[in-house]
Amino acid sequence: MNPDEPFNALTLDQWVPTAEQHQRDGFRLVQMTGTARADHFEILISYEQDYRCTHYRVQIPRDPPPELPSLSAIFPAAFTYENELKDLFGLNFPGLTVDYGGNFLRTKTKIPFSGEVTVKKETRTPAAKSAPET
Amino acid sequence: MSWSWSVWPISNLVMRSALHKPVTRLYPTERRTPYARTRGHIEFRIDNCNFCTICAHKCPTLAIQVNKQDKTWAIDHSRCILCSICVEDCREGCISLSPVPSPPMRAKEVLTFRQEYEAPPPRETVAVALP
Amino acid sequence: MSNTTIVPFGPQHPVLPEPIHLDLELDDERVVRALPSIGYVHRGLELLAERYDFIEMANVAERICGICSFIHGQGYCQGVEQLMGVEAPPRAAWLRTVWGEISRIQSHVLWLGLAADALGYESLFQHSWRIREMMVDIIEETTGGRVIFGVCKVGGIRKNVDDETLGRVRQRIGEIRVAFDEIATIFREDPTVRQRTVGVGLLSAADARALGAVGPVLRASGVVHDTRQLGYAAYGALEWEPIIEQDGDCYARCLVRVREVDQSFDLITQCLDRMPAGEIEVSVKGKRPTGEAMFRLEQPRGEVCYYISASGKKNLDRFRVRTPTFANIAPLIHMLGGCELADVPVIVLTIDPCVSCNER
Repeated sequence: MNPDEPFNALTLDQWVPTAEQHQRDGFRLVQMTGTARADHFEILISYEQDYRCTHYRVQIPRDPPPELPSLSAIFPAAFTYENELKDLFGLNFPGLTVDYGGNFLRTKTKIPFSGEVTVKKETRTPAAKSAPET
Repeated sequence: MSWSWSVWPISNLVMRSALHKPVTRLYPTERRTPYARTRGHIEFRIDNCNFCTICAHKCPTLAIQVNKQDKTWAIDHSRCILCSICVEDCREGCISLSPVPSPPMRAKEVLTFRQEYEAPPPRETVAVALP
Repeated sequence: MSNTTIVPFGPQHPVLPEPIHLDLELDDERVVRALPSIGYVHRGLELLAERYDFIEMANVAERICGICSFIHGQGYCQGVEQLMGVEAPPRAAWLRTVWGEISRIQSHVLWLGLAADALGYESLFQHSWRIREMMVDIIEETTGGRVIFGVCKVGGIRKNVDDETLGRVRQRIGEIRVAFDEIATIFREDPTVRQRTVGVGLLSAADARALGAVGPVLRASGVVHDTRQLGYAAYGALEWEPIIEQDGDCYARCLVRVREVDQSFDLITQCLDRMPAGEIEVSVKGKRPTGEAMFRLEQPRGEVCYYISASGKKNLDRFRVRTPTFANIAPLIHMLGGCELADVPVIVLTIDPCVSCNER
């Protein structure tokens, strides 16, 4: 079983200093996850050292247009995650080292996860109903 | 650079398989016996079914549809993921998992079973006088 | 930049089983820069978790990928179990380990075949897949499926495997091991393999760590990191060491996988020797997951992260999978810079790109 690992909340201005601190301490960037909530975006970042992870969470309000300072200068691994967040959630990353300009994830709908987050209750139509009886 | 034939590590293997009979089967004529656990397809026997609709409720992909009034039980094999939850949950033991894979489907079809099927009355024969 | 040519690589390419697109900026025959784009087969599986019952979702989680299918299911089930505060019984955990290692072997052997195919070594490709087929037969005998195992569920496993079958598995593993040793020798020594892979796609240990490489890509650069050391399932009780190679080229990545297959045979034998008896599942009736957690597991391709957040409802609030292939894209882009155009397929293949894992 994975050990219980803490989830710490961060404010926006602590985002870059925390990353610099972890870079100095020799941590590795494990992942960045975005979650769209009703009035804000939640970004979760994990650093790891010696198989122990620390997670940090930051909340970005939806308007003005969401923006998060880029960590790609500190952790080179961050650029794929930031490009993904940019393409899925429409976040802006000032200072992104490798910017694919929204062409990294070629989804049919651009910025698919930025809209309403209310989960549509899909009516699951059984297959057998529509087919004619044999 | 010249390599003698025996230096290549794969040469033994290639030689052996060239002299050996093929490891593959000649499929349509020679078929494998399936393992006892192989998830082939769902089989249904309507005899004991009391149309409790548990299987239809438990089915994660809604492949099974049961109608209590009409006494019909239908399965869409193209939706079925062979999780065999219906097999475990059927109280009457009507549903079973066959290890033989279902034959390829030519068209999308739903297999429907109906209890107390009444065959249409036989057509009245009209006596025709032979000429 | 006036002399550069842009060559599109993919999304459909003979060496790629799945669609990933790379725009290669070429200066003569040398790659200057590679621009990746993914998302061709995005399926929205993460969003499905917010609609489906969390018990049914185990079926979907297993279908994230066709090759590492079991480990995705295992990760999902372990995650939900931890959030519910239940623990799978020992026999379930050990059988999960056996299946996880079996699926690692079949994935690595499949990859070795694909790598041989990318090198243009057709006969080696066929022989690798012949061995993989024997592995898939074991999967079918123990679980009933060949690709989708369908045995993992929240709270344990769905089917027990009796000792007689386990004895047969042990015997067959021994046979497969002998057959695999021949293939392993070819991958180690064959001049064709060596000429195409030695010194190609170099990734230093510092770069691999900084760019967030995971799995065999990271270990081939000499970094000791294997998520199995967290000791989930039965790994804490087994004797093993992560396998590393020092060179960081395509040949080293190939060797890491060859040696990991050998290690997996060992782990399976250890598990079968010490398989505990007892229950295979615990009841999770009426329990709902609450809270949030991040789970990490080792897949054949590297570390996979599951973020599960739930609030005691029937469906989860958020389910996110960070797959190893996604983490390996950054090192791939780094390796492609400065390589020859003819080496691009080999380098792309050595990160073992599983694009459909990547596009949940």
